[in-house]
Amino acid sequence: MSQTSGTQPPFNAPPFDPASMQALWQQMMGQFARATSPEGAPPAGIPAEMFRQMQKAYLDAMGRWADQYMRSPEFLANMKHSLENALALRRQVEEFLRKASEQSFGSTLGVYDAVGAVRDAEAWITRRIDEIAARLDAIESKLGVERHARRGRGAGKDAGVKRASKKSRTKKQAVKKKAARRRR
Amino acid sequence: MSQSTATTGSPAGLNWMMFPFTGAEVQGWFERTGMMPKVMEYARRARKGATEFDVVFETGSVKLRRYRGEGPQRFATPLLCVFALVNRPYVLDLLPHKSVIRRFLERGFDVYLVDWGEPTPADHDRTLHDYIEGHLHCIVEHLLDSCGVEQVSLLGYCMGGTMSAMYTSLHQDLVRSFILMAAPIDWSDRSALLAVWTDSKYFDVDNLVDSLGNIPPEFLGSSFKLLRPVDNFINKWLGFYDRMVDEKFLEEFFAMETWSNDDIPIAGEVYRDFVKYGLQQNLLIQGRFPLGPERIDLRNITCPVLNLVADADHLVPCGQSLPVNQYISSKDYEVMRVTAGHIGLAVGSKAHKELWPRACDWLAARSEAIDPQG
Repeated sequence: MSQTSGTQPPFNAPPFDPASMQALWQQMMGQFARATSPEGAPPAGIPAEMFRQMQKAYLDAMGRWADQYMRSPEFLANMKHSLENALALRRQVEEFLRKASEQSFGSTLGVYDAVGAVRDAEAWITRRIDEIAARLDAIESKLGVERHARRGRGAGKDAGVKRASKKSRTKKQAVKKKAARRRR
Repeated sequence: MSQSTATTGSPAGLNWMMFPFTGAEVQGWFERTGMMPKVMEYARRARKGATEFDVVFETGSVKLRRYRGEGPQRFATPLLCVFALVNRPYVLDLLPHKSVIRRFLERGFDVYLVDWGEPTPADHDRTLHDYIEGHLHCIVEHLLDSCGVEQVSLLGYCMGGTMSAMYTSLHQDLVRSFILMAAPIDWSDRSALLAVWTDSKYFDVDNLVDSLGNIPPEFLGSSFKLLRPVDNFINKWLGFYDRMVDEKFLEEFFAMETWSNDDIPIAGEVYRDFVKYGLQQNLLIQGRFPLGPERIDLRNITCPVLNLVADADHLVPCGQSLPVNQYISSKDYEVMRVTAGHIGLAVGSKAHKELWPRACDWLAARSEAIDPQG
């Protein structure tokens, strides 16, 4: 590189422009298209529209036949057996792989499995705790609503909903602030 | 030569026997070949969703999206859209001109969408109860709190409609109005191929879930495609070849392809519940669908209900969604039908022209308006 850079003028390649390449390609193919189709050339033996209709009728018939076949007891029985066999094969392969890795890696495999399982379980438990916390929040706010509705006299149920949810919100904010203060 | 060219339209100088294509066909072939870079560009830049949104709440892997509208908000009651667990929810916002979300935003609604996320292998034991009474309820509570309202409007699409109906029956006081969109409720209509395939005589859902845990997306995706093999494997590509010179078509085609191949797994226990208690035993309309400790009783639904049905739906035939009014207690019930398929209901041009403006009007008449005076 250092040898040529001193003696030859630098080659400034124009940046690749996909749009111009596309335009060039389309133009070229357009010219081919015009060249092969003399203006006003009549269609071949079967008119295009008739061909289209024949094709549509054929494909419609094929679609109906496929639908009927896929509803037939023979197909359904085959589907059932294929699925059962595929699932049995999958179970066998999993069992084989499990045994093979047990034999190859011996007791250490159990350790890896255990570590993996613990990590999976950790992620799962954390997510479930989040979900349970969110559900608990929802239940708490609902309980707050019911309590408020029971207490409220004369006020409509809907009005209770709004006030109680605000109340539970302020409660939650107070708890959060306390926790933040404790952390500090 | 002139005679054979005149009758066949083959390129000049070529014998018809050697070159059995018309000039128009050859021209079309070159035009399509010329379009290939454009085709690849459209395939590459297909987006997942058309409208900007913010994730305003998260619970576990579930996210709540709030869509940004351009115009002023006219209604205080938020609209919460709930999609099925089997695909991504952005089909409701596929392209600007094919977006259900946008139709509601344009009308002045505050629109939210539940993104259920993708269950991991550790989530295989998540049940419908976890999704409905856990996540969905948390989301609704959050909306009530953040919007300062007492009720939300729900829109449930497909399985999301069934889940929303279950939620509404348990928390009617929190739902102001409810839109069902191609939602299966009554599985006594066994005309759909899916109902035939999941018949308990031929389909052992317990074996499948016990063996696989989560149901993999490949299984779900290929099953849905196999329901209409000729349409999905032949007609679609013939149509693509015919129309690939049209750039608007390419944009729509690749947006749809991106979505339909963007499958996600479904939690095993949810699949088991839905297939066993819904498709196989049809317990929902009998008031016996178990959801945790509860039994779903659709008679608890008393709010206004709009049922949107696609006449040519091969996945959820009309017979599975139309009878809903027999099982709910709503006095204000309306059906709107459109000639479209299951997905066409959300993305079809006819649905966006004829159905969605009316659906927006229906919801507007039943939502709390914002007083412009403040």
